[in-house]
Amino acid sequence: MDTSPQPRVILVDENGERAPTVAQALSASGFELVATLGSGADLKARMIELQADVVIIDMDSPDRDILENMRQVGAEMPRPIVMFSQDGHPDMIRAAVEAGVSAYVVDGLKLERIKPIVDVAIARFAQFQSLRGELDKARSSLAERKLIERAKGILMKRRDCDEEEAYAFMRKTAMDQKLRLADIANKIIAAAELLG
Amino acid sequence: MKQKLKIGFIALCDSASLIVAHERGFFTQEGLQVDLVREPSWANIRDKLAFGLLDAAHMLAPMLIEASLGAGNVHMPLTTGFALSSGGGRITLAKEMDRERPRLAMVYPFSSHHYALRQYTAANGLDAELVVLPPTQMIAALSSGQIQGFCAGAPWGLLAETLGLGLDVVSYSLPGRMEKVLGVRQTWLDASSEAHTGLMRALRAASQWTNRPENRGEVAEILARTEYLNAPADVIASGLADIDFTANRPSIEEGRWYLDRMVEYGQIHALQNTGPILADLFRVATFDEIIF
Repeated sequence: MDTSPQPRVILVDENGERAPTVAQALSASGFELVATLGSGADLKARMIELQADVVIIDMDSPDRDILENMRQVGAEMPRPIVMFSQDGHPDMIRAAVEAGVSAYVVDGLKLERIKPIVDVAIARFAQFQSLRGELDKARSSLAERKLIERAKGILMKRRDCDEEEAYAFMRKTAMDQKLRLADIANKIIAAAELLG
Repeated sequence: MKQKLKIGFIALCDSASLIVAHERGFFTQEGLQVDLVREPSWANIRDKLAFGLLDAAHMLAPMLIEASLGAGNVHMPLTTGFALSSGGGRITLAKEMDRERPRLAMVYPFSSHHYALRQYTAANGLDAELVVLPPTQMIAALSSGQIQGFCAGAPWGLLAETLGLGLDVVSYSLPGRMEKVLGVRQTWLDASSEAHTGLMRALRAASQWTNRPENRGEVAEILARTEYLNAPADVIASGLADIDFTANRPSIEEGRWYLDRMVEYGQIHALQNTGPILADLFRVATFDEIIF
């Protein structure tokens, strides 16, 4: 038995005639539609409150910029976003994919195509997030290595010791104080700057 | 044969030179047939430009950095040879504001308005929650108490003051920065330099015309129309007064200021050797070659 929960979807569509049809198609495709919103409904608060997994939004909704803020580095609640456009343009879909957007434009929102598109958007988004996480980690470990090198240099000069001894001293201090090596490096650099 | 171009804009006072160029025939004089399209959001402007559904667009200057570095949702090299405006931004706050944790709104994360709010709240010791709202929702959100203030381009702040929301507001006009630019794709600029030159010439003439005090009334009347800003002409006229439309030379220094704020507020990682990147985004040489 498949026990994985159904993805929770928020639909943002101001077109009152179209929205119910789309909503129905989403439910029929195995999504849990948690809300259908028009513009001005405090989208961000609703996304958090309803724990949405994905947002499907009309490209021409003015609320799109609200989502922009939620998909940046360190944003509170990044979520995959699927855009649809009534006059979907094949070139645009291709360009969107090439530009690395994890949002997809559905050609006139063909209802039978919703399910695969939303699934792909969720998968691509997860992949992108983990890639970005790794990149951030790689960047910070590089930055930390630089700090440690700098602290080592300070110690070597001040204690007139060699590199190995300096490193051993830092590692021991870090263990004693239950801190990370980079934190100790930071303290050494700060102290050196203070003392001149 | 006339060159056909599609240009996007957002309903703001600082889109005036584009609208004037269209309405008063400056584009036609340069042999351009322009389809001017009002877009509902900055994200749409950026995406449509990036994906080739627009040839050029009214853009926030830091959006060029955002798109070119892929800091937001789209990664596409954009550039400008022509700045459309300086000034016009305004912070509007409810007088009876919750000073503990006010909720303040901006129109887009990569904007002078965002950075102005950051600086304002830091300088006043406010621990604010910053949110994004479309400009058309600002006034309703302010009067319902959903937000306690916002920072946006003209005429939205002035409109909030004149509408009588049942609450007192104060507002501050922001110092002028390189605000909106004419954004194009770098690949388009390389392939369509002739059209781009015509576009810049038309916009330079339109900007100078728009900036003349004796023309401001007429500009406000045009902008007030339903298909453009759909707002009262007198409010638009006051908004226009805060904007310099002839600050058209792109500025690397202003670009650097934006880049530094983006790093400071964690929108991008610190970069090395930013000189060539900024020179690619803000094409001062292109402007000097065509306009002077």
